[in-house]
Amino acid sequence: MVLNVKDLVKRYGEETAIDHLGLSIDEGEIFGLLGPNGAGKTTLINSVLGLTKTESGHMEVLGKKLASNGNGVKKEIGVVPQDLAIYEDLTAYENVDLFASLYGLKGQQKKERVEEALEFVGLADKKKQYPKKFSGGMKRRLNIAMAIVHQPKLVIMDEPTVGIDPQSRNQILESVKTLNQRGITIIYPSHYMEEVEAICTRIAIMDRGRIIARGTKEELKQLIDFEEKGILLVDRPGEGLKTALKAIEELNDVEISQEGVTLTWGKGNQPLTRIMRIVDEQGYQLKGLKIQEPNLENVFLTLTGKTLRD
Amino acid sequence: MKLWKIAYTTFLRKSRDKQELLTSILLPLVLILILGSALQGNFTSQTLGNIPVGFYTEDEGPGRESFEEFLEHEEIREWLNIIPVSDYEEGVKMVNDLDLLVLISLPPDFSERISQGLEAEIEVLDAGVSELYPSIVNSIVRSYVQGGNLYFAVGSGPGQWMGNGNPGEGTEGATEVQLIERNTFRGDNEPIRGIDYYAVTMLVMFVMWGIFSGSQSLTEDLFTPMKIRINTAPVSRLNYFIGKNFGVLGTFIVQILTIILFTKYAYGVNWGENILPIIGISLLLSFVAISLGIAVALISPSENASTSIINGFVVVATYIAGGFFPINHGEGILSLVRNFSPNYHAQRGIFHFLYGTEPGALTESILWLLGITLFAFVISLIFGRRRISEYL
Repeated sequence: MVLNVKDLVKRYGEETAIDHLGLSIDEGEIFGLLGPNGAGKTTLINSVLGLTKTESGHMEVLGKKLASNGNGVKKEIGVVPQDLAIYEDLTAYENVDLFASLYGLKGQQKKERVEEALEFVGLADKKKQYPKKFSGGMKRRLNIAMAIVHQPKLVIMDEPTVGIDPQSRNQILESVKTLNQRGITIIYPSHYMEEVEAICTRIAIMDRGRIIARGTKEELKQLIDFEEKGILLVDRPGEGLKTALKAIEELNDVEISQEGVTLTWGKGNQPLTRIMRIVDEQGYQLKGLKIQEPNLENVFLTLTGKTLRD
Repeated sequence: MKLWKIAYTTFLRKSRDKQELLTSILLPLVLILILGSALQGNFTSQTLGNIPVGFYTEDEGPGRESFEEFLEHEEIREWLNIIPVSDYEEGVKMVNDLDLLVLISLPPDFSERISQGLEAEIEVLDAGVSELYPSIVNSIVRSYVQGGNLYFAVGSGPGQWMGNGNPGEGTEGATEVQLIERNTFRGDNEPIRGIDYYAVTMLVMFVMWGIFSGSQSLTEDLFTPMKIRINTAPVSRLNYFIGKNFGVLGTFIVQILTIILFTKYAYGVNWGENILPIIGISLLLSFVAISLGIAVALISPSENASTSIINGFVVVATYIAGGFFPINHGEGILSLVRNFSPNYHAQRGIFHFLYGTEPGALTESILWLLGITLFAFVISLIFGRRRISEYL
């Protein structure tokens, strides 16, 4: 087990930031921590990294207690801070090289690892350049290279895609997957539901210092009773079509919109065949059908009563 | 290994900062030249009159009265600002600190020796900042010595005081009073020039600006996102911090060496034969600056506040140390306050090394600088724990 947390409590004055939290993460996972700002994700990560003292609880990282094995455990962890933590007045190579040294790498091995890390994030050809000349995406990638140069077993990536263009974001998400394929466990705290859904093998949803749900994305979606929606794409739908569709028992609601006809039905009660037949009978030509499935945003909204960006 | 890597990287980063290089090396070189040339007048004949002269004696006899009355003459008052000094050692210290430019001293048995017809001395001790000041004072004292009142009439023989204290009275049966001139400065006996003075004070002031480096060495890593990287790396915070400050110290060494060597060979500044002790004092001051910078960073509510505190402190510390122009501290509050100026102690140490005859002054300066460093560390410890934990 890479991380094992039991009954963790952290308070800031009267406010409880982590409330009797328990969590375990297995080797080889990309574990998403999903929650809005203030949910306690950063406090949990800081606690795991030993950056903040906790009131009570038990915590083991890579099978060891951080307090008694500080530097030994730290050598096995890579941290990508949410805010850029790079020196603008050192070249990309020097930035990575500094942290390679701090993690105990020396000589030829250090040189190779630095080159490798820069290659991995696609900055090998920019290694002699200063980050002040880099785009936001390149800086983010350098931020990652500095965290993985020592080839850790566990990488914590705290929202590594904040404020960058979609191309760089995709590149970073791909690199996260590649790292994971190399056997590195990744903890990915984020409030970007799409990213977590796209790359994480398991997800925990946090709110008010507690984990309110956990599992794979499919398991999480199973937790909620969600009304599925579909939009029939037809030209100028009329009241006749609406009335005919309303006759289908499984449909909870039928509304005509600019896009077409919006239909709502209960989870698992999708009456698609009958819908198609009625469209045909009414003389409309079906141009398409968009089905909206539940996502983690819906799960979160259902479980907490608020959106992720609240 | 890690410590040296941190030190080297810090040095590398600092040496790439063109703005910092300009302000820490080029600016002092320019200021030394400008101030040394423009304010040379403070060290030459352009400023006459009101020369701060200390007067010390334990003699209680008529010889003292006579000399004091002489010094009270209006013509003399136009030239000399007589400051009574209660202790000889203190008077010497004031001369060494340039609070007095000259000290006149009568021995305790001055009147007695005169009365007994023995030879007596008047000592004139000068600070050596200019050839002019002691020559003016010596001329005045010499006029007393050579005047009638300097040949104390002892009536028909020793033991009878005949003079009433006014120059020119009593000339019979005279006993000679000798004028002893002493210069406090050693070495080649060359008087200190404006450029020599400002080379020292500007070196000291710009090393003190290093408070910013000390402050920055703490804030840039502890109060920025970099703190997460540093704190999660397998290196102790103390180790990292020491490494950073070694790097900062490296930049100080380059700064100090450049200023000293450039001014020595390009401006002909007198740094003495052996510059190592001066480098030593300057490095000690660098250490003071770094520790003060850390303390300021920890007690300031914000970076802007920290900048304002540092700017204000360095300017005031330089001013009260006489860094911009020599000032007369007298015995008032300024002479007390200056002890809290690291510039004052560093300047005093360097001046004494270059020109001084008071061996204790160098030790005293070093002890004061160490004391200020210790004070800064205590402040850092008190405020540091809480402040650092707030940011983690």
